[in-house]
Amino acid sequence: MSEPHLQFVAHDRRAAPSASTTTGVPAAASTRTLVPLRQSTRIAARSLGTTRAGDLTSGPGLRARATVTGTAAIEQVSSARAEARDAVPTNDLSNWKNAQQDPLWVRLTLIGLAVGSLLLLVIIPVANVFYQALSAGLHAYWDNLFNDPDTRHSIWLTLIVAPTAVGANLVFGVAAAWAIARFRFPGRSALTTLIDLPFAISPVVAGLQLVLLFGLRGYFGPWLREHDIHVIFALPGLILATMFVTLPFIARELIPVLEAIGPDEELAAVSLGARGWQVLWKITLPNIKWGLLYGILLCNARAMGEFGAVYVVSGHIPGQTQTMPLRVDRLFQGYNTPGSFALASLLMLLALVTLVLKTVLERRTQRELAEAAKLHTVEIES
Amino acid sequence: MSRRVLPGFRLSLGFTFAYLTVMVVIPLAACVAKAATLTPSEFLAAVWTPRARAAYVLTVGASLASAVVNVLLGVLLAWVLVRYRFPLKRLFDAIIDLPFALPTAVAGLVYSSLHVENGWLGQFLVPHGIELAYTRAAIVLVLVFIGLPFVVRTLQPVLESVEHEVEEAAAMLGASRWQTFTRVILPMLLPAIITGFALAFARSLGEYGSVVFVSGNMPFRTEIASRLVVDRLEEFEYAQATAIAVVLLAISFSTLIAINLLERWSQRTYV
Amino acid sequence: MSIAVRNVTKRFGNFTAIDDVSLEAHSGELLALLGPSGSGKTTLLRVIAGLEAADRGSVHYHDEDVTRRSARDRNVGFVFQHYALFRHMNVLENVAFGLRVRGVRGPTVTQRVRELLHLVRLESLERRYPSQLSGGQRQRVALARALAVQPKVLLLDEPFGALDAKVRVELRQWLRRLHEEIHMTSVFVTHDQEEAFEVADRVAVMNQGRIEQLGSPQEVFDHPANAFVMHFLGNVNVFHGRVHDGKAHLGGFELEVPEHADVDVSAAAVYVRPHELAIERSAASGRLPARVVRVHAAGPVAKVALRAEDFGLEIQVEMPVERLAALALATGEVVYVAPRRIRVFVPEAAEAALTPEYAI
Repeated sequence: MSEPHLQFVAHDRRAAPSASTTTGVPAAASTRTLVPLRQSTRIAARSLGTTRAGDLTSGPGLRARATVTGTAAIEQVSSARAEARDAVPTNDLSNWKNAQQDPLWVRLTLIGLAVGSLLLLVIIPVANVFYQALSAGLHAYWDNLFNDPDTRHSIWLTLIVAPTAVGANLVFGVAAAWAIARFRFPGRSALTTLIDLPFAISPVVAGLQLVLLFGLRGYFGPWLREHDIHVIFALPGLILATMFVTLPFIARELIPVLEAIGPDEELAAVSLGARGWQVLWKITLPNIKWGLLYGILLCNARAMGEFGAVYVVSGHIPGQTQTMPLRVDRLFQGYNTPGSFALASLLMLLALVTLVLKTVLERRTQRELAEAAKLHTVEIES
Repeated sequence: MSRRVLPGFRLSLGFTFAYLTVMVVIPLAACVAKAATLTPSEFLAAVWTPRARAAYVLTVGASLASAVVNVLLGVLLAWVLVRYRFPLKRLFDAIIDLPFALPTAVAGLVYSSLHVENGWLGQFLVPHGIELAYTRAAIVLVLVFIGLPFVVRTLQPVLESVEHEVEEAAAMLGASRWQTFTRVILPMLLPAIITGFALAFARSLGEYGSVVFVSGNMPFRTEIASRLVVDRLEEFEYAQATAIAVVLLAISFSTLIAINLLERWSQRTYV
Repeated sequence: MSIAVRNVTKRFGNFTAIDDVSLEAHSGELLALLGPSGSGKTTLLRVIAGLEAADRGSVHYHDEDVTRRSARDRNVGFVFQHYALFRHMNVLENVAFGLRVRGVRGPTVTQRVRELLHLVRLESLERRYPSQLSGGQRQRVALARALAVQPKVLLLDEPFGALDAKVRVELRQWLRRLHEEIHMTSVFVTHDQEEAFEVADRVAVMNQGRIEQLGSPQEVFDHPANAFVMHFLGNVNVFHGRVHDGKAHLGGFELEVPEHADVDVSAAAVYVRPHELAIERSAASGRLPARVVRVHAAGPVAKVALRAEDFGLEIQVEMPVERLAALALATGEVVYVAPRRIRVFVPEAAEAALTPEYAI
């Protein structure tokens, strides 16, 4: 029902804060709703202000006079109304519970339990890592970290293994997400399950698989030995093991993001003549950048911290195949507790930084998703 | 094919398929092939030793126990974080994700040292006869840490989406706060609780890094199945190791299937 | 049982949602709270239900002061705008919930639930889950659930707000019949005046946290208490002028307004509903010359837009299509508009002075 031709005067009284207290003759204020209509014509005639520019009452003089008397009247009326309202005593709401609120003792108990368990499970362990790492002093801490050549090498090795694995899974993640989110084909859900599989496989079994394939007595073992290629107990094994356990992270993060964004913009780009790679670089990747970073972050945290799978394929050669987590283990087994905690504190720092970045990225990813979902119109047909 | 206006279908699918084949399918096939070299009786002999049985029971039992604890803790934490306001709430909310980000070896290292006799917590607990270092309880405890985020993070959005009108409706119909919680809110959370439980359970089944630090790895007592695989491998008993690994895989996969069925069942009637 | 609200004020922070409102719903009456969004009608309903606490004032059921009693102990049936059905329970369990939490067990529950499902005509759907029901069916389940605990009063928050137009009309006729069957004191909130007028015994028009007018639908429509009610209840033409000696002066044009005989000079607004204006071909006193701008003849009521050039005003007139056909109006033609019925609202001095600052 639009009535564009009607002569309506805007009556938004909310725009006039004082108006809410100006209606009402003091005597009638509390009774007005109960007075029968016909008797109340006079009261009812107190109506909204409807004068407007260009109206038919002429003469600025009149307006001016009205303003003078009006201001006095406002004060009178509004204070009278406030008085009438204030005459009604305030209710004591201290015992009032709304339907969604729990009693104070319940709230305090539950908050106490929650904070207590987080303290015991998370905060104390975090503090303990730094405490033990630094207990022998900063100097010893520095020594433990950087003057032990094997520890130094483990840091170096992790900085090679993790980014390589993340890079490989990044390429895979983008390709898999593109195929799964943008096309419908037979076996699509089976493919999704296959991507999830590494989550379900124990890392130790993941390592074992590689040993079975590339170990000395593995299926490819003799051939590899012939060509003098070392996979197990060497860098390639470490990278392969890490790649396997972190394989799903980026793909899993990207598929829902791509699905939420929808193909609208990409279809538009194609219709404007963009080639495949141009669509990827200029449209898709900029749209999913926060989700992508989020996936990389999680993938990297897992890659740097992976233990079980690399444990099996590493062979534990100090200075050659020990990544940081393996080095932590070896130092601990060798009763070098300060050394092991020093290295652990570095991994803990990494985790804390990851956590901070994650919190930031999560918010951005969600915004990216929300904005995309709003604009998304085209669905991929099956 | 004519409907595929967007480019890159063959390339992306081809690459995905090849990558998965090399990274997942061939290794898994190798595993199965290796196990298949054993005769059924050899296979049984490898996977059904008393030591292996004890390891399975411990792995599954500790995972179940930790998942149960995680459900209780997860409901508590999600409730408190969604419903109440208190100082440092955002910090507490953020650190719940620490187990996702922290290398499990570090978790194992610090948990093992907290509970020894002169550790930060052990010094109070050990005199009271609560020994949490190198015991089964230690395994459950560290698995609770590892699985902490799963239940909380699956529950939080669901709890946030419960309309306040539903709780008001229950109150208007005369339900007490406790009745509202147990009969209205909890059943609404049930699918999410099941999902969270299953995720925590599955994660615990495969966990290795943190457990080997805290358990002491004593056969029959605190040795988990993954550790047994490693032991067999270090003895170069590849076939036996693989046989046990296949059992582990079977447990993981049946868990996954059970999760899917449970989720479908719990979401079928009311979504 | 009657419901009385006495001098209730409710604030949310700085916003006054209800401002010193008093209201009574008589026993067995169906009362509508009608108003635009933000007028405080839902808040008032929630205060009556006990879902919100009144900052000042009191709520009475019959003679009993229930102000301090929580929602749970008020024994009120409440139907939420979005139904708030328990999605993990089927229809039967939803309706039985109130009885179950009161400790009622066994066949009594099933029997009572069946009776109610019969009342709301949903017997065949008792095993369905809310997600398997249409909007109208959900609404009726919500109603049956609210009635199951034998409440003393029934409160409904925008009961048809989330339904599509056709179902709305059906359901409100049904609600009216149901009310005649059970005769429970009921209050319902709506922003749709047609709905309020069709279903309710009395209507309270709310605005800015206050009740502008309370009366039967007929009273409210025929005798709007003020400009707000006039505006809220439908399209209206507004002419601005002044009132003097019982006459409204619109430029050179005069109208008799005997009820304002004692008002001297004041800025006044004259309100005329589009269907209360007649179009005539001949000039006469009390007729306003205007040029035909547009004619819409689709539907049973024809709408004619005119421009009164002397005043620079656009005027909307509604008439039966038959009348339009008889007139055979042509766009651009000058005709005479005669008000059959006018209402004049004289703003208070205070407001007249204030208005120019924010009149648009």
